[in-house]
Amino acid sequence: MDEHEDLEHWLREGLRPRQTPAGFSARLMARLPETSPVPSSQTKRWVPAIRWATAVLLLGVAGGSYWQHQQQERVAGERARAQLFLALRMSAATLNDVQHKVLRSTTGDSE
Amino acid sequence: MPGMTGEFREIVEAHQSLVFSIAYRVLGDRGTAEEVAQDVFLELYRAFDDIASDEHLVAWLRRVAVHRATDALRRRPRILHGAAEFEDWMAKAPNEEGSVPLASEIERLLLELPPAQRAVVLLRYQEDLPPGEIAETLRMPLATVKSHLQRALKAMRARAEDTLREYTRHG
Amino acid sequence: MRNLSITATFAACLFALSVGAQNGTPPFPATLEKELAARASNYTEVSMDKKMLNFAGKFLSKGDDDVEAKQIIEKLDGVYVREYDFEQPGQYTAADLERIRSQFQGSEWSSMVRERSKSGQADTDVYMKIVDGKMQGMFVLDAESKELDLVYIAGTLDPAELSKLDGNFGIPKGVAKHVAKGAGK
Repeated sequence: MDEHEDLEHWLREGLRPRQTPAGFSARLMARLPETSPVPSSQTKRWVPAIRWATAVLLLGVAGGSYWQHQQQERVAGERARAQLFLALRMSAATLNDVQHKVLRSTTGDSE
Repeated sequence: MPGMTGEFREIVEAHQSLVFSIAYRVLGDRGTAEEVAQDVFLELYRAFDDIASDEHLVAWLRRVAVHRATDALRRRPRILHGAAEFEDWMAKAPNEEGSVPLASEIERLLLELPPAQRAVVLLRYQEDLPPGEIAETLRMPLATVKSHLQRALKAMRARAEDTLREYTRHG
Repeated sequence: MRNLSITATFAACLFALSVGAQNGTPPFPATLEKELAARASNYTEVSMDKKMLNFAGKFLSKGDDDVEAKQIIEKLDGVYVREYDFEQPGQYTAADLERIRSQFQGSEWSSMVRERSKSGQADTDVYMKIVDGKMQGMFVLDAESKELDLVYIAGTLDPAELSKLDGNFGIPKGVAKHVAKGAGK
């Protein structure tokens, strides 16, 4: 392997995608806008290749305004779920910090 | 805008590493990289109806991630010292053998490049795109992409000679 | 007071099952909240009353984390969290902290932990609301020179159960602080 290929090899090895910080998608979902506009019935909309996309489309064809309401509720629900985890995590982190401080002070490691 | 948050969440989970990695390697700063990555997905959420296919989605994410990250780099003066910050961070976190992980060393070398060269190297070696697709993604002339790539590899090679020999020896 | 019994009480507290009266609103003084937010370089405020908790609960899945969260919130009437980061020390005063603590001085509230640092740079308080022998709320104030964290939980809670969520989600407190401003507003 020559020098040029060597570097390219190490670049590929060293630049494999990194993991996002834990909780990234939950924090993102909490930032999504509360409502989404009605999808246009005139547009042939791309559907990502995901497992339940077909089922959801069929529901959309059948549902009309019921579908819109359900979707809006789902968006709001996911957002609420993300906010819940944020609140619980922040509470847990604060509780743990306080617990450590108390433990430190009771074992004599204090000012 | 997607009416199905579950669908959007799945897209985020499928592509968050790609977006975050680009942002992180352009910026050299984990916190800002996460902010930029989140902004990319929020922009996707708004522009979702314009996406025509899975391939279009990935190309879109790459392009917007690079642009957002390089914008953030321009806006935040402290990031100009990204290489030094990165080195400081690495100095605090050696692995068990006391040497620096390969990924960190490569990222350090990357941060010493000008932003445009950095972006081209990332798309070439992280995303494995040929120069023609890089040119399309960044909306840059092909000749410019090739020039950036050539200069970047030359600069990195000059700096990396000793370091990469270490990795070759230790496999 | 610093002794092992407080730690033991705090760490091993298991509470009665009755929820008691709903406490739907956060007791933090609203004007003080605005003032702290204005002075902070970064802040996060999350408020979830009973209605919001119930609504969010409907969207929890069967995954381990969601199951744990569901068990916790079933017994709660509200979760209110405020985290403020400041550029410099001195952005909040002892009087500010007293204004907050004064909300928890009623006969039903008991101070479980009260720590004051000699330098005055770090205060820690934990209050619990006990009604008819049953826990109905908890308030935590964790103050450092450039950081102020407030947690008010209305309802019945096992702190050990909640504490697990910190490790489970694998998020160090510093990372939670990088959540975008206004999340949950």
